[in-house]
Amino acid sequence: MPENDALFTPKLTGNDYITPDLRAKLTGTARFADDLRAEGMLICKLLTSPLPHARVKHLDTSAALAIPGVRAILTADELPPPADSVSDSGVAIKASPWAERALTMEPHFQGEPILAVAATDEAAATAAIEAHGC
Amino acid sequence: MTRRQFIKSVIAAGAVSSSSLLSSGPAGAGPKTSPMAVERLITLAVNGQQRHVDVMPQETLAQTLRGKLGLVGLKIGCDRGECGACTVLIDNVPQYSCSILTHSVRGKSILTIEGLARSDGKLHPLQQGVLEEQGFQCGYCAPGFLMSTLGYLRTNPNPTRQELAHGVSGNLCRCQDYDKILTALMRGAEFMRKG
Repeated sequence: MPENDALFTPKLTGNDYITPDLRAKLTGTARFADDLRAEGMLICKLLTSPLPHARVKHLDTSAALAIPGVRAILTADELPPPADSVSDSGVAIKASPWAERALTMEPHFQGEPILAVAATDEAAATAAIEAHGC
Repeated sequence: MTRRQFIKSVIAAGAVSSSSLLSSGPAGAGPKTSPMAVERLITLAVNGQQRHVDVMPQETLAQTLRGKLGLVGLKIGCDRGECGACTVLIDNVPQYSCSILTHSVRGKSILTIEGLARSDGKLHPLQQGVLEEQGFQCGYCAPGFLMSTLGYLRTNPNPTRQELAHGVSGNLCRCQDYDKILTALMRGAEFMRKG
C-alpha cells in the first residue's frame, strides 16, 4: 500500500460526478438479471413442498411433460450423489451423505424444492408445476 | 390463498357476473361463445401508443408489459403486491401492475417508466432531479418509485418530505436507501413545479 500511494491520482474523490449508469436506471433502460433473454433460453421453476416435513411417495410427471413448451423435468433421483471435494488449501473434504441436496423426495421444510421444470416460457413452466397438484 | 389462486378466482367470478349480465339483456344478444372465452387479441394504450398484443385471460399487466411489449423497466420484484417495483400509472393513478389483469385495463391509458423521457432524450423533470441528487443505489426499485411519485404529485404537487414519504410508502428499497431517495424525489418534485 505505501509504495502505491505515489501512483494514486484521485479523479473522483472530493468531486461532484454522476455515476455513469444512473441515467439508464432512471429511464428503465438498465438491464438487470431478470431482464436478459438469450436465444433458446429456458425458464426454470421449482415445485416446492407445501408441508414442513413430508415424504413424496409417488411422482407422475407425464401430464406436466405433455404441456406444450415444457422441455425437461429434473427429479431428486437424477441428481448426482454428493461428491468429495478439495478445498482451496488442498484439504480433501469427504462428501457427507446427509448434505443438503438441491432436490429431495423428503422435504424437511415448507418450500424445500422437490423437482425442477424447464420450459420455453414462464407460463408453460407454471402450468407444469401446477400439473403436479401442489 | 396464493396470489395465483386469487387471480384464478377473480377470473371465475368475472365470468359468472358477465354471464348473468348477458342473460338479462335483450334476446339474441347473448354471447356466441362460452363466458370463459375471452378475446385474446387486444389493444392497449401504452406510453401514448396503441399496442396490439395477444393476452391470455390469466395474464397480469406486468407480464404483458415486460414479456410481450418489451417494457422491462418495471420489475416483478415480489409478484404479490408488496414491493411496488412494478408500479405503473393507469389513467394517472399509480397501480401495482403485478396485481392487475391485463384484460381489465383495456381502454385505459398506461404510462411506464419508458414513457417519461422525451423522444429526443431530454429527461422528465422528476428524472432530472433524481439524477442530480444521485438517488438510488442499485436502481431496481427506481422505476416503481418514480411512477408512484409521479402519481402522488398529481394529488399534491408541493408535498412536505413527510407527505412524500407517505405518498411512496407502497414502494420498498432493499438497499435501504430511503433517505437519499426521498431527497432526490423532493428535488424532482421541485423541478416539476418549476416546469
